[in-house]
Amino acid sequence: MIRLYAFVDGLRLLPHGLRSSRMHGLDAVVGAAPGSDDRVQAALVHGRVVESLREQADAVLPVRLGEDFVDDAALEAAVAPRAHALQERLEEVRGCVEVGLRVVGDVLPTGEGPRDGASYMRMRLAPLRLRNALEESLHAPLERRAKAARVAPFGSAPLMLEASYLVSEGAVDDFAGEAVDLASAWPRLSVTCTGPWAPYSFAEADA
Amino acid sequence: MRDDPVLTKLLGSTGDLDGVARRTGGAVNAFPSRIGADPETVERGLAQLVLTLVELLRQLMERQALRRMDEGVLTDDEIERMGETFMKLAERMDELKAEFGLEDEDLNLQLGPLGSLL
Repeated sequence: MIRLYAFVDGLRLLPHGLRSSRMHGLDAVVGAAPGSDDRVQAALVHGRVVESLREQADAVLPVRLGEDFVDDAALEAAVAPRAHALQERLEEVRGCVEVGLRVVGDVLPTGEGPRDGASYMRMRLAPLRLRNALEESLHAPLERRAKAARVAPFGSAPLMLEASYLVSEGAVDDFAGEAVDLASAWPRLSVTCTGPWAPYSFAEADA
Repeated sequence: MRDDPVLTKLLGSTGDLDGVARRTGGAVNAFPSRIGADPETVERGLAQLVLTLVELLRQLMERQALRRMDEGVLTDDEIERMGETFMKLAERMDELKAEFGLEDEDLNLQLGPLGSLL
């Protein structure tokens, strides 16, 4: 059983214990699938491999954790129908990295609960309105600066906004600087900007 | 926290960074939880499954009502009645969760491109 980690282009150095397999115009980085069922450990290993590939390749397209195949032939058969789309994706992320943004805050009023139906609805509406404001004043300007962006649908407070941006490798610091500047308009919220990551969020075609 | 691998990736931040880590959970929470199918805990597992689906529907309905409220298409009377209904549903859900020893995290669902339920 083999595990697929990523598709790459212009790889200078393979991480220890892995090999590159050429198929349908793509270089797939594979290794022996770990026998252990420890998902946390597997995720850490996967992350370290992809991070290493990001540093050593001109373009890297990470795949989801746990993409295992019986052998190279099985992998090749699975890649065949998606090869063209994968090549296009790989080209789009060339020279780019992912920058992550997270906005967290306690936005619900503390103290007594809602007195009646209308106050309950107002209380529940407040985070949705804040989310909309964050999308307009924080996410939208960053999205315009990025090559592409993905924003996770709103679940519930306190995680108010979670977004990923595809940014040219050389523009990461400027991008993060703008994110922090924009975030200063929201003193009650905690904003973190992380990266550079491999473009995990941009490995799949647009939904 | 200085040795936290995530912090080596920190490009910038504002606010309470420790709070961010505390309130958004660790990497382990990224894995979807599973419904327990053990014969001894099957009742709780089934309750978890049913309550998760009920919570999904409750949240979908509530979100739709809030959107309509925000668009200004609901009267004060409609807002009051809907709010009272959703408030009672939320209270009843809390009671059922307590009855089966379930927490909010137990009812979370990863909804793929739609994100997580809770």
